Amino acid sequence: MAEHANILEDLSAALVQRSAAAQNSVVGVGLHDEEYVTGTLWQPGLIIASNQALPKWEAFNVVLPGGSVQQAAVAGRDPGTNIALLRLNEQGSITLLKPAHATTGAVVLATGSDGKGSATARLGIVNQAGPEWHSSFGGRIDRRIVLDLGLGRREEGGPVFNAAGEFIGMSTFGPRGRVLVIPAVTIERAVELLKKDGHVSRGWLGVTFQPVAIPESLQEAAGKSKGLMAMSTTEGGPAAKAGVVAGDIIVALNDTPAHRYRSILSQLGPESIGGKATLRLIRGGKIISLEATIEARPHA
Amino acid sequence: MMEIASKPEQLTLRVAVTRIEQPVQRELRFKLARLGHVMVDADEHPDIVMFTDAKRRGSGEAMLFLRRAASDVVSSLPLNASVDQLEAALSAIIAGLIVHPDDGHIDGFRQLEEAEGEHLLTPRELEVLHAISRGLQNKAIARDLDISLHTVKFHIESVYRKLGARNRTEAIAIARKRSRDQVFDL
Repeated sequence: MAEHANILEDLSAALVQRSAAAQNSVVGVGLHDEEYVTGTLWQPGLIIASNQALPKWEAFNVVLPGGSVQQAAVAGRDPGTNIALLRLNEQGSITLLKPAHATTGAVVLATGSDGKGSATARLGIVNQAGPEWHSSFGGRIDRRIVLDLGLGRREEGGPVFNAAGEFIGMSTFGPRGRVLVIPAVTIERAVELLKKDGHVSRGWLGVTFQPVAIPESLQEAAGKSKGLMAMSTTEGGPAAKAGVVAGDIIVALNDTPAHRYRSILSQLGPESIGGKATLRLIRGGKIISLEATIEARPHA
Repeated sequence: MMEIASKPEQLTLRVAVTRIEQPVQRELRFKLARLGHVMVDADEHPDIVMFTDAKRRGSGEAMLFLRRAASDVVSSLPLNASVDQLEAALSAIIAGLIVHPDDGHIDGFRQLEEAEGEHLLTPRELEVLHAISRGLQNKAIARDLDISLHTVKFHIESVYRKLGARNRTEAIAIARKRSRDQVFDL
């Protein structure tokens, strides 16, 4: 019995210690009234937070570890990876986070800010550490990490640690309150671009697509049984200028089959901006080709 | 029977569930019982009919659709809605209101979801479905799309089969959820 009690005490003591250590990495990002969300101290003077949790302001009041308040200007935002970068006036010293990969089943400690300079803590496990995925805003996230724990609205954007105290990523909410983690490696990549440009550029066609079945009579000509149909085009956008209209079904983009979102996205990287794109489409029962010039996706 | 705290005037609703998997059905039965409602068969004069988008695949969250037995108007809730949400929705629906979840809460950082292995609709079927959602009857749809009444019926049957819907309102509800999950701007 005594041994078991010690295991629990040890576990508890370790969690207390880790939670206390996490305090140096969390900040409260002030919103309306007394509300706030959590941010993570990423580099000296730089804070990352969940982009979707922040209103479109230019600066925020930030409660730093220990409780002092400073203003932080928005240095960049990327809806694609859901990362916002805030820059403090003074750099100060920070605890460097040691990045690590997530493993399914691993115990994690998700931490947040209490809005007063201390940390809050949540214990859970990695429910899923899957392959890379793309967000609805076109960003590439290196791993699909889902946590099995409950997170408060104000804790979104805080660091998630593994049992070794290493940083596996930043917490954020997926659909219906599911807790996701933006992996450390994705953060590193996005932050470098945000520091430089203030945004992450991605190619854009300006088409709202819906997956459809290609009518049987056209499947042979199209070479496939499903495609993406343009439901609408953004006025003045690349596709509209090229002559794409609602109802067109895209078959290929630059000779690459384009019946799945991922195959289109893979050709809309930052380097694609300004380049030509040949769109093969089904329109009125015939296959036609149009040429568009890819533009940068407008900043949301 | 266990006593449950309830308002004196509380109504016992008869709720029929169709095409809902057994484990989910058990959970719903339990939630309904806690609210003082009973689950009945579809032919036992239900007040409310519930169903899900049974043929759904992929990682989108499952929805529960509800309607008054006497009405075609479909409300929706997340399938994992709390007992409180379920009770609020049932009261509203019985009062003749339409209930849908707050999209602001549903959303969150979400995946660009591919339509894997789904029975996708053809452009023509989508047009027919759109006409249905505007409340058009078959004759009007035929006139609108300049196709025969027979062809309209053929398309509607195909839409029902692909969506796993049994009538117009179910088809509209399921298609609405699909387009929310699968429509993206690139």
